[in-house]
Amino acid sequence: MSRFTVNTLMRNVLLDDDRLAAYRDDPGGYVARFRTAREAAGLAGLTEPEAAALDGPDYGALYALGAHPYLLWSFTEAVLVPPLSRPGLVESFRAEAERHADPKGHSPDFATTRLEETP
Amino acid sequence: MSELVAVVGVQHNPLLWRTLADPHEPDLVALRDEFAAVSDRLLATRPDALVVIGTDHLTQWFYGNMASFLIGKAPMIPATFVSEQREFGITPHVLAGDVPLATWLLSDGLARDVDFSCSDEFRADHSILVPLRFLTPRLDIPVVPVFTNCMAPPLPRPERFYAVGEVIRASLGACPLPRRVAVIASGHLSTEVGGPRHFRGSPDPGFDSEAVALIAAGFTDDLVKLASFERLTAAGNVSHQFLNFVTAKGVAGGRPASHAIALTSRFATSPFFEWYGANLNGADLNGAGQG
Repeated sequence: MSRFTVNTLMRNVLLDDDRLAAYRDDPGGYVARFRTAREAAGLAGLTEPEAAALDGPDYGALYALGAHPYLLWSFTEAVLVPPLSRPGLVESFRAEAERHADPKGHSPDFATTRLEETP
Repeated sequence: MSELVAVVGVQHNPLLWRTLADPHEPDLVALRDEFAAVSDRLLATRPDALVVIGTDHLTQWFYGNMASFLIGKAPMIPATFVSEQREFGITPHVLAGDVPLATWLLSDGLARDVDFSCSDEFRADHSILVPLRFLTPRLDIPVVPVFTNCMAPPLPRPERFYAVGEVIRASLGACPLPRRVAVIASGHLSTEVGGPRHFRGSPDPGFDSEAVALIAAGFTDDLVKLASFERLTAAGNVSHQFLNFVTAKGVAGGRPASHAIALTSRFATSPFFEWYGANLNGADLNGAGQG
C-alpha cells in the first residue's frame, strides 16, 4: 500500500502539460517509466494493484485503494475528458465511488499512513 | 498600530469563476450578487492589507512536506497552477505580498506558541485567488496567505484552528505596522469532490444549517464539535475546509457575526460570513474587550 506514490503520480501528471500528454498517449508506458525512475532513485514504488489501476486509469479501483479523492477526480478529468464528456464522467465516477464507498456511503480512508501500519 | 477592520468567510469553489462570469439562472445570479454585496461591505472598510486563510489543494503543499499552519511571506505570489487554469479556466495573476505584516504574524505567532511554518516563495492556488477575484476584483491589496492543512489527514484539532485564529487576532492587535487589515477565510460548508455525492448540490444540508447558525451566534463548544474530523468527513470528503471558518471565528474573538447566510444553488451551499464594527471589536463574550 503506497497511497503517497499513487498521489504523487497523479499530481505529477496534473501539474505538467508534457507529462499529461505523455500519460494520455500511453498510460501503461508512463506508469512503467514512473516506476523505473522511482526505483532508480531509491524511492517507494507502486504495488501491482496500484500500477494496474493507474494504467487506464481505473478510477473506481484507485478510489477503493485510498487515492486522495479530490486529486483523483482532477486527475481522472484531466486524462479522460475528452474523449469522455465531463457530465458523463461525473456520473460514472459517482457510480464507481458509490460501489466502493464505506458502509455509511463515505469515501474510504485516504490517509497516506496509518498507525496500525507502523512497525 | 494595525487595526482589524473586517473578517469575511466565503467559499472558493473554482467552478464558480467561469459560471458566475455572466449568469442568467436565478441561483447563480443570487450568488454573483451576494459576492458583490460582500465585496462592497468589505471594501467600505478600506483595508490596505489582507490576511487570507486558505487551504492549498495538494498543488504547492503536498505529502512530501505538509505543514499544519504556514505563513507565506513572499513579496510576489504567483497564482494559480496550470492544472487549475486548464480545469477551471482561472486567469493567472501575480498577487503582491505584504512581507512586513507576514513577518510580524510569523514572529509574534511563534512568541504566542503557534509554531507556524513559513515560506518565502510559493504559488497560491484557487483557495487564495478565487475569493480575492470576487471580493477585491482589482487585486490591488497586498496579501498575507495563511495556509492550513485541511486536505491531508491527520489534521490539527478544530480547537487548534480556533486558537490559531485567536492568536492572529492578538498579533494584529499588537502589530506596530500601520495597517487596516481584513481577514478573509476561504473554506466550505459540506462539500464533496471525487465521491458518491459530488456535483449534486449540498451533500449534507443539515450540516450546513447548523454551521451557519453556530457562526452567526457567539462562540460555543458546539462549533468545534461540529468541526470534528468525523463529522466533517460525514458531511463530505472535502468539507474539512470548514475549519478555516472556525479560525475566522477565532479571529473575530468568538463574537456573533454581523451577517451569516448561506445560499443554496446547483453547487455546494455557499456561505457568506462577515464581522465588522462592534461584531468585530466590541465587548467580547466575557466583557473583556478586544483581545
